[in-house]
Amino acid sequence: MTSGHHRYRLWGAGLGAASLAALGWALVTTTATQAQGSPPAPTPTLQAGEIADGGTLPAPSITPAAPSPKVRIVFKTIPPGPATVSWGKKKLGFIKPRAPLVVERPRDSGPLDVIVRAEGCVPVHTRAYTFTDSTLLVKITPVDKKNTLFGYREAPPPEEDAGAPASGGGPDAGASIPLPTPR
Amino acid sequence: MDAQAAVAAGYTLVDLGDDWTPYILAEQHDETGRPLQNRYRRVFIGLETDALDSDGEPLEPGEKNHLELYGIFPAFSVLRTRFLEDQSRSCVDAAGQPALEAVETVSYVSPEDTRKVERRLSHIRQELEEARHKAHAKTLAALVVKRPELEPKLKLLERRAAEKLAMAEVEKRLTCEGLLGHKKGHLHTTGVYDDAMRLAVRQFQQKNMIYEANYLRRKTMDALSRAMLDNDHDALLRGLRERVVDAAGVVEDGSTDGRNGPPQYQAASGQREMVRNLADEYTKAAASQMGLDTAAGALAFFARHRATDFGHLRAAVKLPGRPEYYAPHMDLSIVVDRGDVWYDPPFDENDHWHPQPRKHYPSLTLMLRYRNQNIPLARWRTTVGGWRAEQASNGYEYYRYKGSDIGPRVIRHVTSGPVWIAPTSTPIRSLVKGKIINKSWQQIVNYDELGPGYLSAYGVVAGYFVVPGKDGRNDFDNGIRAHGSSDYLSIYSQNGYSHGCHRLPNHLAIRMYDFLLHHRTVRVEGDAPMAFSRQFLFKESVYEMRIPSRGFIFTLEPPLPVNVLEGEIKGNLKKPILEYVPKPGLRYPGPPPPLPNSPEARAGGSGAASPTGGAEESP
Repeated sequence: MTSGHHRYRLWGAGLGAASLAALGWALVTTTATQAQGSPPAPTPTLQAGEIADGGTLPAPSITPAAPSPKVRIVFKTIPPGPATVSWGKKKLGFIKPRAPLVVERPRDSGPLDVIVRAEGCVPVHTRAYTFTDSTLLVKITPVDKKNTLFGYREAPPPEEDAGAPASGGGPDAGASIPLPTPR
Repeated sequence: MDAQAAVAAGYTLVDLGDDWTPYILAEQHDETGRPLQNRYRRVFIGLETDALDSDGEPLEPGEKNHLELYGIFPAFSVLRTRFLEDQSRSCVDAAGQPALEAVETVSYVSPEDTRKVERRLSHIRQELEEARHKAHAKTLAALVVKRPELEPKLKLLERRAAEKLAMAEVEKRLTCEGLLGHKKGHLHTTGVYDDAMRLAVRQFQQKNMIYEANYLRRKTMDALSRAMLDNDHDALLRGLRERVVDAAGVVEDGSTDGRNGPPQYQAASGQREMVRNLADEYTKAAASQMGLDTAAGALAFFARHRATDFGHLRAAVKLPGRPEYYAPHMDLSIVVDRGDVWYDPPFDENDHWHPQPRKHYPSLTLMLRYRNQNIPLARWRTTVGGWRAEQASNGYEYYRYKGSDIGPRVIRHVTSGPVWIAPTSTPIRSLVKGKIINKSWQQIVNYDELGPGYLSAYGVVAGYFVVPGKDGRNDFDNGIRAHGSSDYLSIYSQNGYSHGCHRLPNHLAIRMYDFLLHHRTVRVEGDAPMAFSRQFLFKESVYEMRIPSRGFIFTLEPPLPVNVLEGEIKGNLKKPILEYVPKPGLRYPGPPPPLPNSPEARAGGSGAASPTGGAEESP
């Protein structure tokens, strides 16, 4: 957390504290970005800048190198194989067994919701982010292995069996099952 | 002259800038001064300024977010545009006003039932006319004097006639306001409460922060009969309130007032003092000093400022002093009262549903220990767990009782922009949504539900309830959190429940955690990156959820004490059922599988319907 050691200037005329008091309020604009949330309190001092050791963090002193304006997203499939990647109407490109698809997007421009399609496989809807460079390893499942995927539903038993008492007189599918006893 | 001089002179700086966020999403720096990235901050600001949608993608030109109802208040430049546009149109038709004011609500009739209801009314009208003729009465009013048993039918006719007139005025109003008639794919049929109308009413409620089901009820009707500028002014005061409360670091909002007024405490002087409503007091003071306390004053304010002024505009305002109990580190705690609790399933072994009425609803109270007194600072309605639909490992949905733990806990971590990792028990249908992606309709993972975002299961901010680990052991996390939520009907409706968590409307959760972070010793951890992904099959496609971060984490040192009171147990069962219970009317391939048990499974998304059909109230 920071305490705001940044300077402001009064919006409009350069008024002094006395003028402020006379006006009751004034608009101010920052000349530097102030860390938010450490506003001065009207009575006792807000301790928003206090950290575990009781100290107060210094004002930002490090200016990190500006990141590149674009991010690089690499698309690969598992197992490696040919696939197409589309983003809405646009086909972004092809993934080849030994040549992943590389896409560049503006940094922090929002996510990229894509569909990866490979022949004979279930299409995969996935998302790439533009916070930073990334590699997406997209697992591809053949259609005939669909039952290995989470969410696959086994079909319920045929209608004619439903509700029929099972041997021993216990309830079967479709019959109301007695509520379990509380524990 | 710099702002510090204003502060030194006793002023509080209220941030009116477009890049304002509450403290939980403010820019933070590590101990070396390096910025700590909060991934949701950019989206939050984009939502406030109508620049981005909830996924962080650019909003279509002319589109508005209208997210106040979900805790995201419009930026001042957005309010400026509203005021300037609305000064020349009130959207109030003097001739139609009596029709709007003549009814409190408009009964909901589904589009499918519209003709049926009209036929029924027509039959009643015919029946009354025949009875009038037979009774030789001059009017229907005279008829019911002679035959009082027909009065309810006449009243029904009169009410429906009045509602029809009011509905026509509502249509005019929503069209004038630009909310009805411009949506593609939703054509409105005059007089029918169809999808276009429903969406327009929802937009109107979101814009005006009206906590009502998506129908023409009292508060919605009241706001529909007011001039645009008056509603804009209310919106300005609501937005200003959040900024003032954040700047002043206060939370007291009058919500602890009882029948005998506000709670009292003994001050150091020995005097009895009342807990003040600082949110109201400070907002009024700030609005008055800035000339924003009337719609006309606010319009003048916006007229004299350019939109670009709101880039980094701040106001120095003089606020009354805070109560003496304020200190850098306050002895705060949270008490959750579960209210009336039902462990019985809401249906019997014959699948007949049974109502489970509650007189006492759950509440969350922020308490202060001061001079050996417990002072409630704020108390809000919240949720406790109940019966929820859950997907079992066999792919079928069952009901499961997802209660709220009782007893002492602590909150050690607060996460802003939290992410809920949907457990495998989440009904898959709630994890997929349709969206226009790059000009084409596409099914995608429903990240609205996962977060970060105002619609997510954890809302904009969450505090994690844990039992502190002893002797070097980890804390025990049973998945209960107190968090923001967009599912306001689950909080305010009679039959609303959570999956065990304590939900607050997003703006109140933000206020509470802002306050806690201001008045407790806090370590800023920053973004918690993760590389989570999971695939699932839905219909004929695989969906892959990818979550790059858990959110932005603050650690409270020491942690905040929490106590959850048991409440009053209603019904026959005095302990909860700990197994899956088949849903009434469904067929299953066999007995229920065993329960999963992960902390994330406790939070649940809003898509997981409650046994009574979700949080939506019927009209």
